[in-house]
Amino acid sequence: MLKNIFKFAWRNIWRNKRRTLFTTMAIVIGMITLIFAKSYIGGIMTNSVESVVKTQIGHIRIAHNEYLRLERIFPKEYLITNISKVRKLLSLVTEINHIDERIKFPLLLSYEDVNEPCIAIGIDPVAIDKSMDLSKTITKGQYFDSDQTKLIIGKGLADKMKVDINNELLLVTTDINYSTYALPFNIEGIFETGYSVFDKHVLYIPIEKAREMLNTPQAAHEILIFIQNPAEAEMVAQRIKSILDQNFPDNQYQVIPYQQADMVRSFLPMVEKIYDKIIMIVMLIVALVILNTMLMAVMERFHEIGVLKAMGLKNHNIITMIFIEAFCIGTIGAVIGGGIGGAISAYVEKTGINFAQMMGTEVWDKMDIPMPFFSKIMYPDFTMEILISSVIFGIFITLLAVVYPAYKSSKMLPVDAFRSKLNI
Amino acid sequence: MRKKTIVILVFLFLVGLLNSQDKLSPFDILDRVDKNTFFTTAYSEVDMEISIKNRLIKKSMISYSEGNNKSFIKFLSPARDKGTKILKVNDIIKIYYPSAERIMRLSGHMLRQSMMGSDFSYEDMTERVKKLREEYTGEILEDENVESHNCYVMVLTSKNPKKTYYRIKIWVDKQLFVGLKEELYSRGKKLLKVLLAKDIKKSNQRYYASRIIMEDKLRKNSSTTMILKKIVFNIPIPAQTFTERQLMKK
Repeated sequence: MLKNIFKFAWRNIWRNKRRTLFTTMAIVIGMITLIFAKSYIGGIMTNSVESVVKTQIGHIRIAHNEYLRLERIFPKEYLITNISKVRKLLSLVTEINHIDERIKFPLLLSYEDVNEPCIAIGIDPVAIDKSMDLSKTITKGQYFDSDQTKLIIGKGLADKMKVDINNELLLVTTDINYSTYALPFNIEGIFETGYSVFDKHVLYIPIEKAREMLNTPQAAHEILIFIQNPAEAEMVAQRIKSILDQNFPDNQYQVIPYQQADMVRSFLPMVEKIYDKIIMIVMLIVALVILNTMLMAVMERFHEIGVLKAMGLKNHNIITMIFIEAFCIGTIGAVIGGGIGGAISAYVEKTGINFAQMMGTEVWDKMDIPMPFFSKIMYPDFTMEILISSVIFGIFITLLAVVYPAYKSSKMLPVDAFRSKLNI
Repeated sequence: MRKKTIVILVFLFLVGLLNSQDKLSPFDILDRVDKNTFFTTAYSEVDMEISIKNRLIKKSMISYSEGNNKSFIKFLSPARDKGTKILKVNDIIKIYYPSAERIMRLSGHMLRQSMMGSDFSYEDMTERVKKLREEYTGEILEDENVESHNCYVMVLTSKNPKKTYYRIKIWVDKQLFVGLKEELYSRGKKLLKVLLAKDIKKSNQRYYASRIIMEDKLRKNSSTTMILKKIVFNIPIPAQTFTERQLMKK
């Protein structure tokens, strides 16, 4: 009997091709929307964490307790001193891929009659390039060479200062003893990270020059550590902490795995909550579209169901038939939609969505969007998990949509069905 | 009888004189404060002590000034600051940094930056030497004592709405006409700085504070004391002192 019911259902699907096509289309469009939305939001989350890790906190970050407490005001005097000893101790930790020392300080930038406060980051150009591909962000001029008197500057900052490559800038700051110190630098390159706030306020100089300016030889504000397996960050951080505590009894350095960094721990969950709500709204809309279409598809067949009942089909047979039809349409729609949605998401994952281009570069440049949560180009993050969960969701919603009409139609009398008196 | 009349008349005259002094207008008070502040030329040797986060940083400098608009400062210590020179002509400041052997020109809102790491800003150098009576209108409040000096208390409001220190509450010594304390407020009534003038001395018929303490309320636990070790008024200063050439001279 089940075989015959399945035959009935299969023939029903193809009997009214237009109806089946429209119903399937609704599921396909719902699936494409859901998969793209999930990939896009997943991309924002992944990009954000990766950006924060690469540019600001590493997999593990070491810094002075007070530096971390007052980080927002750049407390230049709180340093990791005796950096060579720290480096030697870190060489004992085999999981470490590379380390990236940085010095950050506010300064006054001067060119002809234009002055602008900004942030200088003293870096080892080779180490930072391993962490965040800084050299690839250069859009004009060149990346650092061995010349210590050169800097690279964010495009927004260069525009504000009205400077270009090869111009000489004067950098003025107060050192850790509150003495004023200045050095001239030539602009070697102009970078664009895609984060407008960052590009408007930051320039990079060689770390040795930063040390000279702050009068802090053999010191750094922070050490970013990049390890082979980021999932082990918490465990490796614990080991590094115990090594440092043994060698620096004053216990003044903090070792923070990226999972426990303030930016990831407090800000990301907040963003995650907002995005979860957006996904829920998208899922609800998709579910309503499928529900509505399936409900109509069953309702318009009451006459037909009445005939089947008059011919002696049992209630459970009617229910089974409707569920088989819904399952087939749901599966076809979800698989096709999953395929198209997956293909679009995978393609856009490679090309990215260039918001600056969409909005116009001028409008984008004027916007102060906080880094690293919104980049100029966003890349969706399409995964098999998203595909499978969306396809299952599509099939489930299709089946859910027919529960009520299937139950109602199974309970009605053939005579009512002929007259379409079923009240839904 | 005649003697008595004269004594009474003299007494009444003195009382009248005192009363008339008590009833000075805000303009008169500011005028007398300005008279104490302004000079033709001056040479001074100054120590600057910056107290910040339980640290005391000492700097020393010499300064030449001509009128309200020209001054030249050269830092003598510490080693990292030695040779740094600041030239102020009208509202433009030029700073020579020996480490870079370059000059930076400061103007506009950049003058609000801290001067050499202290609680004084470059603007304090350019703006504070302008005459109060020309820049502000005043209102007199109840008299108060500042370290046993009886003072006029006035609230000054700038005629220029863009002024950094839009409101100043000033305590002026009633005898010496020196501002002993100033609270400097923004237009939004935020307290920006507090200035205290101490160790009042007299030279060439004018009174001046030989210790000035400035607290920048936007910096935590910070104050800067300027100690005037030596000051000579009306000294001849060569004209080339206030030039860029002098700034670059080693």
